[in-house]
Amino acid sequence: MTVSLTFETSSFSIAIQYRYLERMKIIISNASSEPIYEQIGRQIKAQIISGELKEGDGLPSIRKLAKELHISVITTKRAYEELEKEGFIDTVGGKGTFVAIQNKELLREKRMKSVEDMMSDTVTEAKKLDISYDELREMLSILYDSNDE
Amino acid sequence: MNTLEISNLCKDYGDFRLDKVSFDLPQGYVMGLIGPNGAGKTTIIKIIMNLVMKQEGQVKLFGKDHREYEVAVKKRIGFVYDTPGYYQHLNLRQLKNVVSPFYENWDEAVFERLVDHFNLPLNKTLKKFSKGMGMKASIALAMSHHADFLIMDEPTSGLDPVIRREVLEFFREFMQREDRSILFSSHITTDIEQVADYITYIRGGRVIFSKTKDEVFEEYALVKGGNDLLDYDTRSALLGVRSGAYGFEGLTHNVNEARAVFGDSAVYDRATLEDIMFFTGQKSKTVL
Amino acid sequence: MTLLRLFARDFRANGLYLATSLGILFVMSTGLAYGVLGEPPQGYDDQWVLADSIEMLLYLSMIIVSTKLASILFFKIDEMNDVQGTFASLPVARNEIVKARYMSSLVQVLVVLGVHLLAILPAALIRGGLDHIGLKLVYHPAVWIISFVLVLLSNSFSFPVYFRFGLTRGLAVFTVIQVLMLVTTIALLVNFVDNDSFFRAVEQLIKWVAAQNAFLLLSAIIGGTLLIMAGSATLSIKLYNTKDL
Repeated sequence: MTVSLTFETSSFSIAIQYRYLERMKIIISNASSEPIYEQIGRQIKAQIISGELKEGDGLPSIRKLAKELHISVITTKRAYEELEKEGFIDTVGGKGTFVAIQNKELLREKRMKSVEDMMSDTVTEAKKLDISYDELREMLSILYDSNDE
Repeated sequence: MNTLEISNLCKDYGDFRLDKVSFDLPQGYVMGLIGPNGAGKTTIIKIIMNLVMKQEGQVKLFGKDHREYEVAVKKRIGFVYDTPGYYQHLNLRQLKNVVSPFYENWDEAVFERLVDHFNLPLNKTLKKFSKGMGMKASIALAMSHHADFLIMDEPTSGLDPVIRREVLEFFREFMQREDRSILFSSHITTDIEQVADYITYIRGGRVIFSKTKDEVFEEYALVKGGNDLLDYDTRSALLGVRSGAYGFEGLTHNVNEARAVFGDSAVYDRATLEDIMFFTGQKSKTVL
Repeated sequence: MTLLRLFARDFRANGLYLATSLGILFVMSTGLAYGVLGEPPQGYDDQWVLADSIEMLLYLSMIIVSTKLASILFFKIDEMNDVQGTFASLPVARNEIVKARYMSSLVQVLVVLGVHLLAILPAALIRGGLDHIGLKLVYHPAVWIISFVLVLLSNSFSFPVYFRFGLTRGLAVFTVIQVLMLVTTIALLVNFVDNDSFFRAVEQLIKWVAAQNAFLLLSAIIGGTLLIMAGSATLSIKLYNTKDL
């Protein structure tokens, strides 16, 4: 659900209006070797691909995001710039940043790719445990059917 | 546009000198000045505010010379001293009445909100204020005229962790508008890591570096490994080394180069500002 | 405008100090005036007879010293609270800080002289009423003009040093000089108490001065003093403009 609320900073007369995305979830790890801007980009991308973030959903401003995540504006700016380059988000001057209208084909491809990646992990893990292709296929078919219900 | 441009600043005190200090702060960002005590941070800040006279170099605030346009630029600055000098016999309300007439843009409502936000007593004399209250009062007084640029010398030193966080959170809130900037010095490096976009490291009156925080943390790293990896050549790839019984720890300002030298048998960790200050401050590269 | 604000902040910020010190001064001044008004001086004949009264001399020096001290009160309070940097970081020019300080000190001098003038009244009342003959003596304009001029001259010489080196160091130097001057003057006067020719010469001088057009004389003295003060302020501005705070 996308809610809209007015946020009045406790010490300034300017009221900052933004659409608050309840669902958007970003967790930053300082211990990770992955740069922070990449962590942000990856997580937002994943949420767009999974459909948690939908076309036209507003994203917090770079300053708002930097404040919330306790990171540099430069970092959030870089993360947004990368996402924009890849076509995931659009920045409309003066209005804010939104999840871009996704190319349906492309999005599907991207989502397919993520399914492929997960399956590839599964295969790697299965091979480590000496699970045969047939056993794996069986497991998959059971899971596929049970998920339907 | 740059809020602050400093070029080739020099000031000779005899036993200490600022040596060709240059750095810029673009509008919309927070810059942290780090450096050990006596590195020259306070002198730089005082020169910017024209409290101390520079001998050479140029300081521009909002694109204008800081002396030629002194009054005009100071109207747009909120300044917080490390040990604010205020009339100790006054209470905060009286002090506000002394300071506020100097600002055309003074906003009583903002001041009241800040006082409320910081839980400051208006009727208590300043000599009864704790260090933390004094700093918060100082921030409230510096912030109530819609300043575009906050300049603060050690605003968080001597404050307890709770108040420090409050103050830092306040900076973040201030920076929600992109036409604002902050320059603050601190030797509490974690504060700078938390809120700064740019980091300028001053040591012995010189600028060691002035870059974005991301650049600093992408370039600098701690290299850890067994002592067998250390020899004369590998040592020279590090900015500083601390070698112990079970291994060494050193700082590099180029992770990739260090990886090429030490290979996979060493561990590469994120360097904190404190690490950077510690290792670059060592007297000699070889400790043993 | 900024100049006026700077001027006003001296009084606004330090009102309580000011009121207290003026109160104490009033009481002290009344005490000394009581002494001066004790007995009409011997040989009083409507003439200026300053030399005949040691009390009068003490009284005059007390007025001068206390006025001088009061006029540097703002320097003292500023230095005690270390507010120089604070005010220099406000949107004000340093030359205005200097000018405002000269103005507030001048006003302080006038206020303190006013307090001394008023403080005589209760002393006179106790001594026998407002028609006390001594009142003519202490209310002689020369007493007040001399005090006013001396304090302003002293400030004119000392303020540039205060602005450059701060009050504590500056005051140390000037107190020594001023005390030496005062001691020398008193020593000379005491030595000459029995020397008729000296006092005759002084009386002659005073009479000559008194014979001049009072208005012209007053204008010349005060104008000259203010001119010296303006020169002093210019020098102070020069010194303060390049001072590291």
